[in-house]
Amino acid sequence: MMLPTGSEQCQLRKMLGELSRLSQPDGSAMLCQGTSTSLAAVYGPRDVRISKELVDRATMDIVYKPKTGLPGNDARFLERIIRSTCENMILVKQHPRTSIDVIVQEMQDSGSYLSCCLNAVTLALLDACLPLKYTVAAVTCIINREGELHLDPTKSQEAELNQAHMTFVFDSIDRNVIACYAQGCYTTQQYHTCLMACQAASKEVFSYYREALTKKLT
Amino acid sequence: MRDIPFSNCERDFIIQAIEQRSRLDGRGVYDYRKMQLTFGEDRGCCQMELGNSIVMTQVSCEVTPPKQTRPSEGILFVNVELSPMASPTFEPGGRMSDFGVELNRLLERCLKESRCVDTESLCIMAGLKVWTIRVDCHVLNYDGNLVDCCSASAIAALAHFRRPDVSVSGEEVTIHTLDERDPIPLSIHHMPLCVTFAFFSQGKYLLVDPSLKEEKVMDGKMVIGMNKHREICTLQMSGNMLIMKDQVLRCSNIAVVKVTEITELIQKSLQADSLARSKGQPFGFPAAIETRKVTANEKKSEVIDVVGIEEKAEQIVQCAEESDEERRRRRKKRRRRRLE
Repeated sequence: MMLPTGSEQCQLRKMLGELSRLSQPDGSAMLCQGTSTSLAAVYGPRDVRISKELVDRATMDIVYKPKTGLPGNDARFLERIIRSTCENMILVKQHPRTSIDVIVQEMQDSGSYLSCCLNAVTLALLDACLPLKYTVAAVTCIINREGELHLDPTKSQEAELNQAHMTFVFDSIDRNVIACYAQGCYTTQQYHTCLMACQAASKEVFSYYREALTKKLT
Repeated sequence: MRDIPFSNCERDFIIQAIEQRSRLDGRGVYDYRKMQLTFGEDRGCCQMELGNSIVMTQVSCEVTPPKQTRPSEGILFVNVELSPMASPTFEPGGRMSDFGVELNRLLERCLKESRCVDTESLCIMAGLKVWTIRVDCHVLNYDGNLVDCCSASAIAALAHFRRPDVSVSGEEVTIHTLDERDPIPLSIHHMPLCVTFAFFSQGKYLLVDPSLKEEKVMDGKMVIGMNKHREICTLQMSGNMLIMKDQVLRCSNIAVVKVTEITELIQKSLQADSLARSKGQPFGFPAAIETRKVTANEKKSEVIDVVGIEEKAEQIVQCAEESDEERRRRRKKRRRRRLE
């Protein structure tokens, strides 16, 4: 193992986004990380159907829309991760008997897509001005066949025979791990190295959020 | 969520404005809102913006057995998704609303029954294997006149799409990957486009490209599907109104002008996209974001400092192992004490 040799391997791709992309939702954001693009929209807190109403907290409704065909298991999986992250981030207890709906549309998947979706959702929540416990930043990395660490991989790099593929989600206050999704075979030390590299990279994502909102609000 | 009711006051205001030949957004009676086409990185991905209405279409293909009634023709499948992000009134879930069904049928009629895509060229082996072309229209934001927006984005996506090349030798069919052979565009005979006219005060006034508020007020609408060769492909009227014969003719004359404009825009956007692709310039969704807007922001990639991370990880692992060992030792001691 395993630290990256080239500078390209230890940097996030260019981030480019637009807030309030859509006129109908309460908050929306389109985020491109490299060429991976996703569009997230937030409605809420708004009225909820009686059958879904919860008396002590807000109902979270997450919908992920793939670009082609009907949503399958992949979509359900993404929805679950986004839901658990959002429930951590949003103060759900503050809005009982309401529903907060998050809709994510796939626009272009070219690698590190889970982190792109999560970051777009965070931006959309910030755009909707919902009170949050903290913001979150997601970073994806892979350990390739040679055992090298590679941050923010592209689709073709993800498709190669890699040892492991990990996505970490951090909070903005203590940079603690909120969620982690890992695939493959790795040692404890490799895991911790990936974790710390992603933690260092999450700083970039947080500073992007700050820049984007400062630009919008000033 | 239920639709927000529209107040009589606002309704009267809009109708009065239309009677004075002016519209809420300052457009003329026959003007379209600003149109913009963006193509994605994938082939067959097209986003159409018509004012605030946004529709994204993705075309995809797969090999399937043909329909038994038409063994030597490929299949064109059209699907419109009213995503819950587009409007608070659109419900998530599989069942389509009446509005969704109407939109889907209209688009299907416009694309399939006008035979704009040459389905015979999609046949691989008659009676056994044909290409099924799937058109998925995702409505991302609903601000009126979805029909025009969907039809333009669908036909542009079909023109942008490339299917993989196939070769047949005897019974064997080989689908070539994108690296082996250049993919092939679909053969499109003409571009049918829908133009919507909204009618007010029993057909006395008409507007082109109604916005969401105007759609809520109108008596009814007429959709004309037409290509630039002045051929009418579909014509649909809905709502509670009766209109005169010469009004239909007037509408079709306006539609000719509008369809020529939109076709030109599509051709121009397609050319710009292929030019950017061939020259290696940036294309796709990131290239279409205007960074000078206050809502848009760009951040160049920076090298992240990862020095010393490996040593830290090693320390963490060692620490964990040591504390593990300590725990084990303590447990042993305790057990010994208990035995004594």
